[in-house]
Amino acid sequence: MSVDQSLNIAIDCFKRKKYAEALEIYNSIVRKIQKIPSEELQTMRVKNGLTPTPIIGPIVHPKIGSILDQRAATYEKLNNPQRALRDGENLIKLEPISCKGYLRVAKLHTIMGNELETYKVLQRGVYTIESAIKKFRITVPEKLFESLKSKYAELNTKLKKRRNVTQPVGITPGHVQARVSQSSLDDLMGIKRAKRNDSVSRTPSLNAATASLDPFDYFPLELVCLIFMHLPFSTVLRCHLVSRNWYKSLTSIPSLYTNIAFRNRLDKVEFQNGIKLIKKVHQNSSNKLIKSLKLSKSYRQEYFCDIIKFLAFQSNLKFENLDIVNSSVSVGELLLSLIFSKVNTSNVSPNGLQPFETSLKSLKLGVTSEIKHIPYLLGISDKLEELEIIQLSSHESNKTVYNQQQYPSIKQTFKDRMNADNLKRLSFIGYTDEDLKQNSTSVMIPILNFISNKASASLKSLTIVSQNLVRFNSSNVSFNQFPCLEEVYFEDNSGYSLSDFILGFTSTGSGLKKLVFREKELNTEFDVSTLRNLEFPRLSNLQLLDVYSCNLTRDGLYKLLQVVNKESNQLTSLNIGNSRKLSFQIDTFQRRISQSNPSGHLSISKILKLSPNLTHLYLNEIEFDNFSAKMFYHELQEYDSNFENIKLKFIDLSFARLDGIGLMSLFCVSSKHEPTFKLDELVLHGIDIKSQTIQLLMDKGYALSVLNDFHKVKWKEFGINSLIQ
Amino acid sequence: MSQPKVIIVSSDDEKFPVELKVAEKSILIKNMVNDLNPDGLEEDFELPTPNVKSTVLAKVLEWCEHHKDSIFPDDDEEDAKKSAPVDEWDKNFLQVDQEMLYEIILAANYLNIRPLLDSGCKIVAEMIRGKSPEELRRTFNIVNDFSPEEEAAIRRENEWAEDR
Repeated sequence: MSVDQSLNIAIDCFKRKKYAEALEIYNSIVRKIQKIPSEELQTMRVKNGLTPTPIIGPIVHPKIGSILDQRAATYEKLNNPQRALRDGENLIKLEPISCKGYLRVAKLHTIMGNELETYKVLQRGVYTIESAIKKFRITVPEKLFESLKSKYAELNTKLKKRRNVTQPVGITPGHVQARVSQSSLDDLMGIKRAKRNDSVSRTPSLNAATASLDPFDYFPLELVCLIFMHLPFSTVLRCHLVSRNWYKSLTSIPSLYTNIAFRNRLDKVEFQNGIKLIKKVHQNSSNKLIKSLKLSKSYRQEYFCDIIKFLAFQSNLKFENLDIVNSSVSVGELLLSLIFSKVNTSNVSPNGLQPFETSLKSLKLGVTSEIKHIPYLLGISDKLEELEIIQLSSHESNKTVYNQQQYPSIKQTFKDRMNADNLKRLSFIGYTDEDLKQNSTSVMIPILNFISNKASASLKSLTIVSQNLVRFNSSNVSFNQFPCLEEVYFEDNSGYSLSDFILGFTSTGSGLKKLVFREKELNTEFDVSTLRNLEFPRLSNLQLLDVYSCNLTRDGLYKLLQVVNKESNQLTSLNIGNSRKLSFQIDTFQRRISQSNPSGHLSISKILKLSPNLTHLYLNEIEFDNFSAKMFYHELQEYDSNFENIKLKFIDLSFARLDGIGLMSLFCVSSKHEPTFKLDELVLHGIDIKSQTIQLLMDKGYALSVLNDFHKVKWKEFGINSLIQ
Repeated sequence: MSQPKVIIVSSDDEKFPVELKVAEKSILIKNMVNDLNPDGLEEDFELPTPNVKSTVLAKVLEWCEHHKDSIFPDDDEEDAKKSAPVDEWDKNFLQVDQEMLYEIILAANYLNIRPLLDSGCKIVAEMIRGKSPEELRRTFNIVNDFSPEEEAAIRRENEWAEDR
């Protein structure tokens, strides 16, 4: 029996009020047409004088409008408005430019007493159809459209009148019209409009006239995006649970799903669910680019391997920043072996490294054991700008996760891919465990070697933490080979001292801006003689010098300050904290029992004379007591009696032997008329000071803000490696 | 002679004469004025904003008046803008009922007043931040239209993410 014939019988049943029978027939028709393939539907449409593909909406059976509308009417008669409503909403979704759906849904809402919903659906219909007429020059059945428009206008006036009585500010129809027309037609149709059709069973609240409104009903997607841009990713996910509308809308904004952090202790299924969702969201995005993906730990090692594997074979997504650190799996090797195996099996097909090769800019990963092949990671993407390798001490047995035999055959092909053209930041974080460190072969030397041999070395920033640099010192890599270097961070390394670095950094090239060199071994001395008669053109523009825990003597520091300020007095930040050979003048009694200070004490006026533009001064964990504070003030006064040329804005005196009295004398608080210096921020961690004293300093404006945490622990807060394991 | 003004006409035909400097907080108006008066404004210039009704337009112009001398960071400093807290004055100014807030946001979007749009969006974001789905439904008067099965499925779909 053809659809048309069945339809006629159903209509007949309906007329004879045999609704249940009619329903059964309609159901069978719907089941039937659902199975028709779209090509056939297109042929049917043409036969019925329609275009093969509708202007708006999916390809549907030519009679779908009548079928669903009549079934809805049948449900209505059978006292099942919810089902009727679903048919109506579906009809709108399938044929957005047919008046029937809107009229049906509006009628049903009226029956159920939901005036606001009625209003909304009428409004939606009028606008969708009017816009379509304008844009596509289509014609719609005039009678139905007129009926839709007049119903809308009628309800509009009614609601307006009522609102004017109850509420001064509300949605006036004029406003809504305006809002709708300001968005483009394309926004109104297709995806975005369709989302509302899903909110079938949503019953409007009874107090719809009060000021609570769903922002997702009110705003176009671009504004929803602007709002959620300010919220963390976990909130976006939580909001999925609010309603269908929220879920649909949020998951249609891919840009909200580009910074992804996976939870700790993840299992494989959970991970796959995550990737599935991400893929779903990005299905319609143009670039399919995940800006950052962070994966720290998983519950079981095997899962983790699977996860990485899964990731490397995602051909539909691209990653820009990867952050994968896991203490039980050497991600570096795993990733390499996967890439190698792909390259091997696919004969270096252009798609060999798809999720990474054209997009990956930053890669942070942990390695545990074998490091021989790590430099090949430089071939993972030709966009790579940032590489951070963390050496982890593994607690579990190191499984070899890759087949070593594979390497030689593909080494050569992979070698050609390696490039460092865009590499700007490089970090090596070594073992914190002392034994491991001493015995480790450093992963950095081969990488640095590779980069330094390239003429185009673009490296700007280098971070080396907790490495055994004995071998580096004797290798033929030199920092002179990096002409673009601007930032250097050394911490907790052995076998390489500040003087080694400075004396080896004599080339020309762009000037270094930041130098952090936190020494570990304190057996070498850095004295004035170290720098005598040498030129350091690349150090003369330094803006930040951090020699926390250094071996500088007082005269060595002065000489260094002279060097770094030589050209343009650029230095604004100086950290000489925890330096055992440096101290300020302290109380005579204290001096007697103190072991330090063999080479004379520091003078703040001398430091400022050498670095007149200094704004940040870190003196944490250095010899500094109440007496030093007093002298500090007097020296500043001597340096500039009006304090006008003193640019110091920030001082860190954490762990100094100071009390409230010392603090008062630092600013010379007692004398009311004398001018004094003022700070933006003063840091006093680990010092027991009454809160009233601190409040006084802030109230009187000596320091705009004072940070004081008595329980803060030394050292741990100053460093990179302590944060990792 | 007094400075020529821009007369902004709301959707309900109310006229708001404002200084050019104030009106120019709206990039849309600024561009329109510039396009139509390439030699500068010589006489009063009437400009209809058919999308904004008078109550909302009055609020928006109050904001423009207050901020006529404010300097806002460039558009490309996306991160800075994102993390910056809402200006205190804006926060108080936007202490209005939800509908008014939404309409101001829509108007700011239409008139292209980026800083006002940002403040508004941040305030809506704060209404969302840290709330449970149920609290969100209460805040925005939304009815949960998920079946328990669907809700469970979405929960499962979310389990992998770091909850911070």
